[in-house]
Amino acid sequence: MSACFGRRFSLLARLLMAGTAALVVAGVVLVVVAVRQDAMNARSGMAAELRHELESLPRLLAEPVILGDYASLQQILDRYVRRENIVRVSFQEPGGAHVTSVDRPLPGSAPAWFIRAFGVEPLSGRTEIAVGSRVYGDVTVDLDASGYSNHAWARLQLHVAIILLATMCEALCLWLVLRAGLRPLRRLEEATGAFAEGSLDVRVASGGVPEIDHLIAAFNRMAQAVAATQAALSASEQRLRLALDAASMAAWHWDVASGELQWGDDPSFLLGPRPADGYREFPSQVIDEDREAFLAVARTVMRTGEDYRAEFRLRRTDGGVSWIAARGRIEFDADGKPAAIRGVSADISARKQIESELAAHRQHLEALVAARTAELSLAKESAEAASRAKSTFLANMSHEIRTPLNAVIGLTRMLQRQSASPAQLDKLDKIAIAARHLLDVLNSVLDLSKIEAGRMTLEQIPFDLQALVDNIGVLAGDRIAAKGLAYRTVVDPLPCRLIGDATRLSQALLNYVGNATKFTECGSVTLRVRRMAESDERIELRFEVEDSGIGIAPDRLPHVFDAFEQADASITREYGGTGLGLAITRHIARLMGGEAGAESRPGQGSTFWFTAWFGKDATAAIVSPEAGLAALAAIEARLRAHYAHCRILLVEDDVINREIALGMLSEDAGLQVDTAGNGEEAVAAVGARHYDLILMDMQMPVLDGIAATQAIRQMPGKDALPIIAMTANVYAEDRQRCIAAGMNGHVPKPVEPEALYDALLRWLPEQRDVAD
Amino acid sequence: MQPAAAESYSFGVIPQRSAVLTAQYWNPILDYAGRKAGIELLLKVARSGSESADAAARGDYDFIFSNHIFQPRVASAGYRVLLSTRDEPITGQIVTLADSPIRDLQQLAGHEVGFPSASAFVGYIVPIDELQRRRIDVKPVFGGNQEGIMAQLKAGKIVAAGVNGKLMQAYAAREGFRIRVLWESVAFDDLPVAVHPRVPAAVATAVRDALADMAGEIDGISVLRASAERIGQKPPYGFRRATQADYRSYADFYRATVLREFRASP
Repeated sequence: MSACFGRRFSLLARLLMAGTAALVVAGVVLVVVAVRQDAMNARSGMAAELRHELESLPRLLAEPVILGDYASLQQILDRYVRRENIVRVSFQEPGGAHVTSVDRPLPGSAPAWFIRAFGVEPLSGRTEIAVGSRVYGDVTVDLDASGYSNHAWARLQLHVAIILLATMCEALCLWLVLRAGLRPLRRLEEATGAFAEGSLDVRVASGGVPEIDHLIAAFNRMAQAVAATQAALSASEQRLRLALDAASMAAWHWDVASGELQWGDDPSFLLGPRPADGYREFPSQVIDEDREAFLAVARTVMRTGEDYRAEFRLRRTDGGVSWIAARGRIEFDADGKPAAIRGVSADISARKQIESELAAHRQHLEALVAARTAELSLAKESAEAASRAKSTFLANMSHEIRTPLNAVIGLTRMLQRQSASPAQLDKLDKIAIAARHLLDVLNSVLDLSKIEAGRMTLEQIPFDLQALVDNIGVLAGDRIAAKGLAYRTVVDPLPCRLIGDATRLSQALLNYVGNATKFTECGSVTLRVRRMAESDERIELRFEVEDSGIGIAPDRLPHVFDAFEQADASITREYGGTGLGLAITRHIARLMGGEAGAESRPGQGSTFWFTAWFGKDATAAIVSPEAGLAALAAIEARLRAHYAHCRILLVEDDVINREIALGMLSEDAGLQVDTAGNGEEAVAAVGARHYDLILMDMQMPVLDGIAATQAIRQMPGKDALPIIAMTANVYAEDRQRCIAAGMNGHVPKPVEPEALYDALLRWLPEQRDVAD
Repeated sequence: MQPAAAESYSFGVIPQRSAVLTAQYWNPILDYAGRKAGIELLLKVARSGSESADAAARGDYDFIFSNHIFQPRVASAGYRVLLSTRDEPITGQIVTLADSPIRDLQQLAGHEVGFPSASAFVGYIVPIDELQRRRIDVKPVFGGNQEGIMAQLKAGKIVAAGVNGKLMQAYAAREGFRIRVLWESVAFDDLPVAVHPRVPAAVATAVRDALADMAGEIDGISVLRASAERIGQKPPYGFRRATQADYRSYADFYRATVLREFRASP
């Protein structure tokens, strides 16, 4: 009811009433606060006045009281009572005599109700007049609040008058300002009405106060925007219609409540020519096989609110069957219930035909792939079996060649040490060279087979590059010197030792240096090592071997690193070689993160190079018992001096190889050696007496080296007994099997005395009490 | 015979100062002496020295601290001296401000000269006697009491004043100004405390003993010292026993004065 009451008033009336009410309320609050403030001031003022009078009156009255001059006292009291707010002053002697001022009632102008509301009571106070310890009497002062209440009443009247005047001024000013300011609002109201009736080009002239002017400007902008939007909407609708026509699509609207389907355009291109009695109701046109799926999609959409997507076949009025794709979006009413689905449909019969043909083709292809995969699988298994057979063959061949080769080399070495005839020594040297060459060929073939099988791996152990380079010079020195060539090394200074596979690096460098020596008849061979790149942890080096030999023709140069390739077939006949060395070097360089290559000018010489990455070793050098540079004789002398007390068990089934090993151990190195023909004899010997070290062949009758080692390790107190494999099984996996069985080291056959002595020095206990 | 405990006796004091200052000085002393004597002593102060002398002549006061009793017209009341103050003897003086152009009594001729009251002994009777002996005519102006006329001298309302020399020194020191003494009389004993004949002898004796012993008692001397500080009085404080004979010089003066109204009959 109050809302209805309020709606009857205009904005002007509301502002006037609100402003007036605010002023009146503020005025009432002001008046109340002011009156209360006056009352507080009156109370504190009267209290202060009373204190002041009670302090000053005894001094004023002392003289006449002392003199007993009551006439003067009466005059003083009568004068005093004329002071503001004082209505009575009286003096009373202790004996009872008293003097009182004339009564002076204060005039009261405030009405009684205001005085009650003001609430300030009269005050009275008494003090004694004492001079020099004698009390002459009491003086009493009575104060009245009429003066204060009169003053407060006058202020109240003034405040009310000011508030009334302010209220009238405010109402008048507000009325004048709003009456002028609301005039443009009426123009805006008329324009809004016209706009609502469709006059989108109506605009309102600006004017009036800034707020209304802004409102008019906003209306004009809105009207302009609506008109523009309307135009854009029309254009968009036309474009949409064009797009639907171009895409052979028809828009539709399906009302959930009535189940009625309305088409936006002529759907005859989808449904067939319109019959005289109109199209049948959906979904009766949908063919029977698709109808249930079609309805299920609609139910799902209404339950979940997802977009509508369906593909189905329908029977056209001309009898044909079309594939239809429908896309739509569900609409909800104000209660959140599905109200309609709005969407478009297109004829996808042609696409369905293509998809069908593609599916048939894909099935055919998959069958072909399956057949070919089965064939490839068989081929792969066959290839793997061939590879395994090849590996087994190579391993067997390696073992079978190394065993007699060990006998040839070892016996030759024994004969060289024992023979005296120069003619015999010359023949023995040729036998040794031939056997060494045969061993090199065998090693190269094995390395290449490892590389091709991807089984060549690199060690990562610290080594000294300068020592390695020096060792190359030693190993190749005989052949270089025999041809009268100059040999030089140029090595960039390195900050530290390197981490890498020193054996493979030596092999690669020996290949280069050996080739350079082989193909150079006069002049020099130079080995250079350069620093290429470096980080905190790694360093890249470039190794070059330059010769002044026959050189290589440019057309052959690209092929020299291929396996089994040499520059010329005549080379093989003249210089020999397997053609594997450079291929192995390139593989080693690549395994070390680098590359290999060569430059050459026929008749002037060649430079073969490769690069490789190494780790940087910041730790202290690892001391090798013997770096291989010491002379063999010195090692043998050291063994005789410090290890003659040691007893070694040599386990070897091959009589010749046993004889060769005994020669190196006992005759050359002066060690005490017992022998065993197989693993069983070895186990029995170890159980019978103490040995400082066992040299164990792997392939033996009765009990092989692996089983014998495992048996020895089971014996009490033999877990620390050094057992070194000495075998023609030289593959990495063979070495791994030895370590896994509990052996401590591995010496390959043919046995190099340096390698054997190196293992002995590492594992035999040194006799300390013998002077070095 | 002991006086009744609640019995009251009036004690008139010559108005040498304002009534309030007089009351501040004497009320503690009278309170102390009254309690010692077993009576109540009520201070009475007249508005002026003349009124005080008239009251003494009428015998209004039971006890009196004044030298009016030696005037011939008051002597008939029969007051008898009990005590004298311990102060030095008093003199009458005629004084001007220190920077006054008047340097001898002759220059006062025809000028207004102030006096405490017409009954003040060393403040008026003795100085006017001297002026008349020298035949110097001045216009007497009365200030009511000693400090009243001293205040008029300080304010420049009068060019010279007849005063009690001892009171003048105390007042000038208290108020902070300097004076020039044109003339000074011979010395007279300071004011006496006397008793009216109607007061019982026992009461008179008790009051005399109480006042006389006051300076010798701890609480008595502290009362005297406190009162003295109010008016700037210097030691010695208190009273000593005295008799009429101790004030013979007053009688001698009144017999020899040229002032006919104060001259005693032979």
